[in-house]
Amino acid sequence: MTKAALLLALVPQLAPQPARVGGAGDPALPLLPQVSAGHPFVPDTVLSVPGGPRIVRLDMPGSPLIAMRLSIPLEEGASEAGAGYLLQIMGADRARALAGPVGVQVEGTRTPWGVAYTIVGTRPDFDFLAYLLSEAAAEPGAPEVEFERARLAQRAQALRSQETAAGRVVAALRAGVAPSMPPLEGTVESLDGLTLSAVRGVWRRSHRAGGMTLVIAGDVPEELLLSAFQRLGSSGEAPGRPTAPAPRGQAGRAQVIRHWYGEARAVGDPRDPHPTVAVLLISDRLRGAGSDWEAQVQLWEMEGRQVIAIVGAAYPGAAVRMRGGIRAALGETSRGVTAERVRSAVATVRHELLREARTPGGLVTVVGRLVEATTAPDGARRFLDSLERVTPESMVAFLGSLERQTPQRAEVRP
Amino acid sequence: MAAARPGRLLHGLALGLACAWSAPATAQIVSPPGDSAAFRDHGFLSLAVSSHPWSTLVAVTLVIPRGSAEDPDELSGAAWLLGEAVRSRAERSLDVGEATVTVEVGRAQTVLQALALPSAWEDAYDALLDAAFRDPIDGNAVERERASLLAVFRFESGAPVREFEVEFYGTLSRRGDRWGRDPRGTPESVGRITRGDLEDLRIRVYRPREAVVTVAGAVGSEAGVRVFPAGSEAGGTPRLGPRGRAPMWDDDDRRHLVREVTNSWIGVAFAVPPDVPRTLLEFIRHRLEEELNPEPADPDLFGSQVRIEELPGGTVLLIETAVLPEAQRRWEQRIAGTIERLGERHRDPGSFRWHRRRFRSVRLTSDGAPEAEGLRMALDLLREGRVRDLATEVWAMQPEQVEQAVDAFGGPRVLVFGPDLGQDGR
Repeated sequence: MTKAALLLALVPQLAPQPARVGGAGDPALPLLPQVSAGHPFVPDTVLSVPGGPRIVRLDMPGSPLIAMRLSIPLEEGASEAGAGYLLQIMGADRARALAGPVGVQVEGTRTPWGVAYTIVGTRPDFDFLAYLLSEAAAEPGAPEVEFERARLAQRAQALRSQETAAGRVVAALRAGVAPSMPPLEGTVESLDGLTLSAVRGVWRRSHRAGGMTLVIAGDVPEELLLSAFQRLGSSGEAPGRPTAPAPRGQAGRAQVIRHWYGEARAVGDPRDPHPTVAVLLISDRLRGAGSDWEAQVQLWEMEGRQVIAIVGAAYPGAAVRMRGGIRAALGETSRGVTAERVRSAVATVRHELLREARTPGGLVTVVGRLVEATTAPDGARRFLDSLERVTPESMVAFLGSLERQTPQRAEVRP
Repeated sequence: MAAARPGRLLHGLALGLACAWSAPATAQIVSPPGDSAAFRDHGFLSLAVSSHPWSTLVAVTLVIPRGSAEDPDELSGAAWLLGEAVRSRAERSLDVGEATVTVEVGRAQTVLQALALPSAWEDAYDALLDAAFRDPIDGNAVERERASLLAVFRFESGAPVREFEVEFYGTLSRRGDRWGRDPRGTPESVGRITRGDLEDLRIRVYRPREAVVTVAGAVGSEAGVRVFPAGSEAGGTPRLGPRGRAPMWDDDDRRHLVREVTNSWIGVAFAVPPDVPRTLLEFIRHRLEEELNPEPADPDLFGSQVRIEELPGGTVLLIETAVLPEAQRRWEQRIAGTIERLGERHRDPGSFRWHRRRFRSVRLTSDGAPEAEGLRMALDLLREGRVRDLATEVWAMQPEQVEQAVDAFGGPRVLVFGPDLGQDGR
């Protein structure tokens, strides 16, 4: 008798009784319960609160933990680049200062679609967790000095990135594939122009409860959930998005000893799993390519699209080989596609996604991120389903379409 | 029966264990699930399952209560190499993406964990057990790990932190005791170990009857019912944990190993009385670590870590703190004072409840990953023969228990490792 058959022969008992030890296949033996047919990524309910956030519930009956992710869509004008990033830093810091004494986890993040806050705590603390989320999403009331501290820290980070050849290449590629989208972290120039008043304007424009989505994993009665988030975000008049262009600056020359080169290509559908699988296949291909140069494959999620970027570095003697290797990477990967390689890459992507989602906090992060990207409450489940439809033929077709694109290119030379 | 594969045997046994549970997750405690003699005849000492259908993966955990302290004298590092060989074998017998397998070899135990897809957890379960107890040792994996270890040893050559760790563990037992050795061995010993040595070691220390297996995560009925309810008895004999009535030592001891290094290490060890409940001890550990990593940060402090370890003779609480040499004396006093005052700091019931609430949140959150819960269940079974209901036990802690426990600690045994800057720290 196979294990699957054994598991299907479930006999749950409601009263204690002694177990009997016996051989597998003994029909008299009480058995381990059947693995649930429901999937953790499938919402149990989706609630729409008038004037409030959409609530996506992932039930966890009996769990002592609650995890919540509040997603707030946000768009910045070019001259406001970095405002959203600063908003989530200040919001997360505010919530963390309140959460620390109670042992609650708080994370804030700037995504291609907005800002998101994730909170993990215990079930008896639900009211407090809801309060923390409200505080994170509240209008920044920090003294000017705290705003300046965050802004200057972010500016220093932008400067550091400019100093490195990798940062320069990535910034140039990004500007090429998405010229109208300023970098989420801001630039030195845009951060220099940001004021607390301007950031508050971005908050008032974006933090509208009706546009927010809350993903919650836990054991919380519906009525409690509905009443906990009645006051979220901004309710006043929303200022318009400024149309001023991105401020320009002149970056100094980078001091490098290696030759850096990168290519980037955009694909249109954020729900498509082919880019994720392609990154693994291309990385495997490049790993075996050259011993005197190195390259990294990156997948960028941007609003409405995904971008595959390959960035490499080599000492001058190997620069030509490196450039050639990167230019040939897609074609060589495509020619090397086999059923085994695709199966292995798909399995790795699936495992990594499920691994990230194995904790309550990870689960709301994965589900929430795919809700943000796709607007569908079951976006995560759809992504997993579409992963199963990736085949060697579809991968070859995908890589071929990428290869036919004229890529954005960027270079930094010694 | 002896010829049957341990995995399938255990599976039959595990099914036999799934005796009864009640529908709500807050299940009542059930009576011991079986004849413990039958357990020992068929296979493992203990098994526990924790069911969370909402989880995405399943953690299968195998804990063997033997570690590097079992290495033969000239072959330290053998348990380490053996663990990696078993890990590699288990992972390679599974399809890519079905499961990842990790191993952690300590002085007193070897922990193998598979983190598997729900559809593959049974294969992972079998793979783990077969690799541990039946399959030939993977010679290629041994050579890979040997090469990796030797490279790490070359990189770490002369690293003072390694000397500190060996000396610190040496203070916990007789000098020269195997307990004091680096679990990874030395470049010389690792180079000597043969596959035959590993086979001999495995026969000696990898005994199913001493081991514990747990399964945690996306298994179980949709009601999320625990098959092996918290608080019930496993029907076995604890293999770890206190083996006497008193803490391992009572005396104080202090040594200063003078070394010309750029930061000082302070190691402080306390022997824990056997009757201190584990959840209370974890609370004490948590509070000590909070107090010794203050916010805002002390600029002279690199970090302070507090651990609970099981030694052959009992349980110890270990504090390891790295500081600038000129702050060494101040921090040594700070550590001693923190322990002394820990009890009185929790006398106030309001303050105690506040700290307890935070500990509960942190503890339950860390238990939220299936592999963390699986390991915790396994160690509970080895130590006490039962699985703790963490949430209940945390709420049950009382303020006076902290002071009573800390007052009963034996020790401290202190090792200071760093320059001797005299009384004024200059």
